[in-house]
Amino acid sequence: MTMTVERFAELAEIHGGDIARWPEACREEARALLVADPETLGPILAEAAHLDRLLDLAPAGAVNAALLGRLIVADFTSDLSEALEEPAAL
Amino acid sequence: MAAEGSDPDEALLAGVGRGDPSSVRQLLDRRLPRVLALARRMLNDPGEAEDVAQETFLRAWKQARSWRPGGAKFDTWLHRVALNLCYDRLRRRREVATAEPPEQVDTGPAPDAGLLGADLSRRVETALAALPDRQREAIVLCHHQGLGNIEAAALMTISVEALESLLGRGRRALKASLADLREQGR
Repeated sequence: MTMTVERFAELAEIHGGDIARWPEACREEARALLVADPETLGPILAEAAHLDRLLDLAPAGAVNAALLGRLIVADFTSDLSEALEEPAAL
Repeated sequence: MAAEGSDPDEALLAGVGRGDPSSVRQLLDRRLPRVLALARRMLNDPGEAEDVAQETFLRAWKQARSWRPGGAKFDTWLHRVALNLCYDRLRRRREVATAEPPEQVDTGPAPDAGLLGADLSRRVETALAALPDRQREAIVLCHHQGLGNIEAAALMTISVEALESLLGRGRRALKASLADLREQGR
């Protein structure tokens, strides 16, 4: 598919503001179009990158020592129920 | 470095299968944070996310002893197990919600728009949680977990086109619900 401004905007909306994370097949054409028309395409990328940065703020959770310990012990315990507390809400 | 197409976890899995403590620890260091993050963002509940991560690795330990190279990559297998466990929990939530409708959660901007730090993070988390499950899954797999289109689509057992549709709709919805944060993330 030939890269157009419309397709570029669609890809930014789907894959975000970093062309390196777009499908490989369209990266080269996208970069070429960006060089050719930075005034139109730069703001489109910036808008998508802004949402990327917000998404990065969604908490990932931190591995705590208790969870790590339970999983290490579990691998060396034949009776897993001895090593683990009952999982909640099963 | 592992050859292209090979499983970077293969050697560690073999070590886990032999009961090697160092392999267990290295595999957990490498993969547990990813599984925990996946579950946390899918479920929006730290406790449930830990339960899912724990159950995923308990299954992995059992699997390690009979793991055969050449099939699915271990990371892909982990994602599949964790996602199935997440969907079990999301399904149970819906059943409970049907029986007892929850209070409406307000995902809109706070009266004071000056959100910082943890508040901002919470806003994003809440907006992500408000998405339909499949849109959230697509975004978490592609954006947060860094999977490629083909791998994410295969995990979700949908076409790449369907994945892109979910990503587009999900990101548009997030953009709208977080529009008041325009200046804060720049």
